[in-house]
Amino acid sequence: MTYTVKIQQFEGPFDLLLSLIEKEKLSITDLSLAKITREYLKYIDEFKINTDQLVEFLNIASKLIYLKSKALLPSLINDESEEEIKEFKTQLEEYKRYKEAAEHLKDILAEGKFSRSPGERQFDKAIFFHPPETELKDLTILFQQILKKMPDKPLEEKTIQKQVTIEQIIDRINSALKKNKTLNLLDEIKKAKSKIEIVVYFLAILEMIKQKAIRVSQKENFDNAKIEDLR
Amino acid sequence: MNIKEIIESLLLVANKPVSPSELADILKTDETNALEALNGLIEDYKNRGINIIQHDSKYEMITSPSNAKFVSLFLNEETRKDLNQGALETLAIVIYKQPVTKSEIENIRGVNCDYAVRSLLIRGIIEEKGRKESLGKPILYGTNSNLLKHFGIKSLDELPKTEDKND
Repeated sequence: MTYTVKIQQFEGPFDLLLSLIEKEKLSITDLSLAKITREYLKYIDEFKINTDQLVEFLNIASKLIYLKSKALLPSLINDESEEEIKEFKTQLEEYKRYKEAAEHLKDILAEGKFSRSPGERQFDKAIFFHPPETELKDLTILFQQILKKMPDKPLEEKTIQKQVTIEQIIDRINSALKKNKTLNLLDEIKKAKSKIEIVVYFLAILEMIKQKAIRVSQKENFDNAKIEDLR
Repeated sequence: MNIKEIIESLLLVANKPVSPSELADILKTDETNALEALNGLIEDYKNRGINIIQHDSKYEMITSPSNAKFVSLFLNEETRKDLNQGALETLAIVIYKQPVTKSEIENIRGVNCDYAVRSLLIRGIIEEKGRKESLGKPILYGTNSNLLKHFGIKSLDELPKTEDKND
């Protein structure tokens, strides 16, 4: 016998929080929110949340962690975060009200009632209007005319050149850095085969600076820049 | 001239929600008279197969929600698809907070609401209600009478109040 586990989909971080609170039969207070921090983090960890929503889930996670630490170390609290937490709870309570209202709407829908106005058609129904005298043979003739107008020759072919990717350039810079501890930006760029490649090279440099993999320095404007390995 | 009877006829052919002032214009009377006649009609039609609904101070004749099953059999139409949880939450916020912007909805729900707002717009149960006089002039959304018809209710007052309806 097999068991299927149904994973509940949540409509965002507040939805998840509320269901955790409900499950534990808690109320929306600092303390009970701190209590469910572990469950909340476990959920984020275990279920793949799509990247669009991840920020929103993490934002709430950080607030929960704050509450939890506050419960453990009540002396280390500042007013600003206090204010933010108050707002957070108000927000959660507000969401709860609308969620309940949504439940109510769902119940109404389930009754299957609706109304129509005189002569009204359902708006999402596709309707075909044709001129009054049109007959099937007119449409056939029109369609044949359109077919005749279609060009017989095959579509013109165009090819797009394959371009280097930032990852490829980063690999290239990395292996160059393995040989020499420092590189000269201008010398490297001279090796580029196209304008696009120069642009990608710059993007790669920026990405590596962001990752703190390299440092780029320059003595004065328009001078050659030095790339140093930071790892 | 029986104002009430005329308005009854006009409501039947209107094909859209009508305001008391439009009716008053045609009847060469004032709005109070039109409104009085409308309220009389609502009362007359209360327990009939046709009802009159009011939304946003506009009036419309509709089939009674209680006969929905037979109306859909007769029209040979599938009854509408349900709204998903996200769309319902979004709709609830629009109903109680209208006029409301998308970012205000997103603040409450804590998630992006592009899809939910769009699906409600496509179904025609919410609509744009101008723009908010704030940074970026965001679009304001509100409900329309299609919402009442979709849910088979005669007025938004049939929905329970939420605590902060007036904030």
